[in-house]
Amino acid sequence: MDRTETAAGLPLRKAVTPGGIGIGLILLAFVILPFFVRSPYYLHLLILFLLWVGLGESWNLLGGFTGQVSFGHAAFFGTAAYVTSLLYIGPGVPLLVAGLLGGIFAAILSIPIGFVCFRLRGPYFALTILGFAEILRIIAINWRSVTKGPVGVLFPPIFRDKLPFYYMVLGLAVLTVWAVWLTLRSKAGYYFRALRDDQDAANAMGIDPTRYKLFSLMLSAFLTGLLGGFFAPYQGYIDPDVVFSILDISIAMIVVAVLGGMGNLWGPPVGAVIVVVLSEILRTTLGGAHLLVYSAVIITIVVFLPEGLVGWFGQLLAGSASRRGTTARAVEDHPGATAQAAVRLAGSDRPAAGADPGSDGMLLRTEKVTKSFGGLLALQSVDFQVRPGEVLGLIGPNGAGKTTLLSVISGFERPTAGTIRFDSHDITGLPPHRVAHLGVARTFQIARPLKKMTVLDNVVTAALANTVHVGEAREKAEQVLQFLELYHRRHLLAASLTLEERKRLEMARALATSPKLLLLDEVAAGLNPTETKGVVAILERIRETGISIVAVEHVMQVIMSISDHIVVLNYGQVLAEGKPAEVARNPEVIHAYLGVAEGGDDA
Amino acid sequence: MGNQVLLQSTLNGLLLGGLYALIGAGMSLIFGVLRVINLAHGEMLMVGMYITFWLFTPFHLNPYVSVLISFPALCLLGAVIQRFLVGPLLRKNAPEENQLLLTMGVGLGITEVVRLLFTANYRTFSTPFATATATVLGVSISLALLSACSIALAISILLYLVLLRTDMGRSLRATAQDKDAASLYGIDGERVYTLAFGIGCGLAGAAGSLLLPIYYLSPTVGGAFTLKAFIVTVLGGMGSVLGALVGGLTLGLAESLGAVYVSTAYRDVIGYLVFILVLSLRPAGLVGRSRF
Repeated sequence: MDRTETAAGLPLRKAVTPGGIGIGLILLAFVILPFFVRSPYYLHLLILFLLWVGLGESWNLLGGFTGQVSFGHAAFFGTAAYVTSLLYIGPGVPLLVAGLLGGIFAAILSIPIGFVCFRLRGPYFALTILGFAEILRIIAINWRSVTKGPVGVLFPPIFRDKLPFYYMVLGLAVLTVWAVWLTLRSKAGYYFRALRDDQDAANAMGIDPTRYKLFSLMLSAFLTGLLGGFFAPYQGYIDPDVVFSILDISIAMIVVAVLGGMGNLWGPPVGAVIVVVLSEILRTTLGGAHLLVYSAVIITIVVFLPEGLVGWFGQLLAGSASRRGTTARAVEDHPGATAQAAVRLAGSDRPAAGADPGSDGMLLRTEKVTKSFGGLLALQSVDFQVRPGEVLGLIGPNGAGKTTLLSVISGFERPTAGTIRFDSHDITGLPPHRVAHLGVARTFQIARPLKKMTVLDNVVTAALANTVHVGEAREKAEQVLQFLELYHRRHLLAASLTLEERKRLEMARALATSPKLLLLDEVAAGLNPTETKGVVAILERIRETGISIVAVEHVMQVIMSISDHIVVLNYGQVLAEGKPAEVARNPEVIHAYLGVAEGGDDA
Repeated sequence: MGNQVLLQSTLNGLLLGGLYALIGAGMSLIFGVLRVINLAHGEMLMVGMYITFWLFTPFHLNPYVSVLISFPALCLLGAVIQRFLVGPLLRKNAPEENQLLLTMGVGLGITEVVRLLFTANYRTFSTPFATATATVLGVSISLALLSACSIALAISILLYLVLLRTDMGRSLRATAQDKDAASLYGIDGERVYTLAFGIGCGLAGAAGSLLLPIYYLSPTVGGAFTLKAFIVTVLGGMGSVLGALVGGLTLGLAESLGAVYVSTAYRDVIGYLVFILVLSLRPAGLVGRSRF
């Protein structure tokens, strides 16, 4: 396996590398450090640093890697701090067990919070979860019988000095970073990043957004909770305004992660160093004005360095690398690769299309499908069938409802009426990820690459629909990339692809899910004649593998040459259908299209 | 007796709500045009309060008159912030959370500057009319609250008319709907952004002046009001001034009635719960589609 290093700085192969050894040495250094650091003050700073590494990293899992920016993580920190304290002080639960339970409680708490908040996106999510944290703070202030109210909880002294605390927090920090690293290498890690980059595209690849976002939240809440459970005994005293503090906990976690670099494993450690050191220096020199500097730091980072320090540094390095040796590396592609890949593609994890068709031999059948958006009737009683193994062209003037039909079939829209049956399943109203798992894959009219991931990772994410093992998925992804002649670009970030390559990436992702039916939305739009010929060739190859295709297209040269069957939509209704030549001669179709005359048009 | 209490708290809630509506209207305007949630909104209000205080204490300028000063002053502050910080951030197409962080950072900075200039001491406003009451419908109502609400409503109506009837208002609405399309009609989107942010902050400052007689003064009052403004905006449908009115009255009523009938301690929780509920069930707000 060749060494893949994404721009996020994640080493993707086993840890015995120069990087791994380096990390091991650093770890060793931290373990023996206390023997050289005698001053309790500096030990305290180290403990703070490690605490914030852990907090920043646990926030980063949800915020940087899953794209859910939480402004309310104090909810988990504070709750766990209280749970740990109350379990230790009251029933005398041993400290480590109490800490663990605190983390678990925080994770459980995150479930209902997640259910409510994940229905919202972006800033609404951020502020709603802040609302939850505030509610918890107010409850902690007022529920005096349990939390002792604003007076807070005093933790009895446990250890004589800071040393045991140091090792506890070191362990937690290492655990957090390791847990995040491990998760990122797993199927869940790819899924998190896909959700971050484009939730709808992820959905179309079979990723259940709620389930995985919830998973990320629970893990993040658990890790944050463990650190809250550490904080209580270390600090010796907790009260609602300290542990549920918006500024000192929730926002500080964000600052640590954003300063270092969101979406980067080594961002939080860098951020933690700066925040802890800066806070201390500012506190001791400027005293009162340190929050002002803090605010200036936040503003500066957000406006000028949104990728954080690690990200910015990485961009500098990447910039100089691309200036040195650009574009296509020498490719291990040999001539037969494409054909071999095609064969492998067909004999894949699914029974071939047509092996078990439902609905009287039809692979896909829509019956009286109607879709209205308020007053607009986009689809009217559309009856539409796809035979196994056929290429069906779906054409019609702009606004005819073609993309809506694809969206309804793939689950992105619910039909207002009618049913859709695919392969003996009723898929009416199923969410996109379920439809994808049943064997329907789609591309989007405007390509939606997962921009912060490499081309290879994009396709691996899709391939994970059918397996849990990243290695297996990567093999499949490489086959698909070879089939689509994108293999030589596999290590580039998807954001740097050309339009035509992005369209091929869309198809690669769709194919990697091993679909029985492929829904293509205007794959040829915006391409020049050479590229268009390339698309036709690709579609021919896909057809040879036995996958059925429904292609929405305006470019007649593409659709007429490869379709077995054509359906014409106009104003949401099926206007005509039949063989390409028949349809092209149909006067009603010509009339509706105003331009399908001789030669075809490429509108 | 129960009826008295109900009437009193309802009336109080409505009056407070009218004031909340003004606070929310500013944030709603900013969101409607720029799609930015101004987390420094409460701090703008706080600055308005300080301006009013420092005009009153040495110069005895009536707080309701100092609206005429705090409004333009905060407009200017808002315009500067938009021009040099928010605008550049928006042009970078940064993730939306960065806007939150930016405005939050700005709010923090303003709080700190005020604290360094004027200390963190709480101050109160002592004038005769701050404690005067009037009897309305057999219920005792604070005159200051009544005045504040009346002026707030007047300003809101003025805002609404400006948006609907004037060219400036049309530019604001057009840019809110589609900045690029509006620019094809000759509307300078960046200038409109600055205008919207400025006016939004100005409204918050005006609300601060109105609020001072019935509240206390401290650099840290901003945060709570940012949250209230946000709740009002969400309830009313982000971007709708009319909605802000509905949202404000709703929040005012919920807080007032909640404090009396549920619990004073948990009154803020009621506000949060209401807004979480609305966001989850009716994301478009109580009024519906975002429109002015």
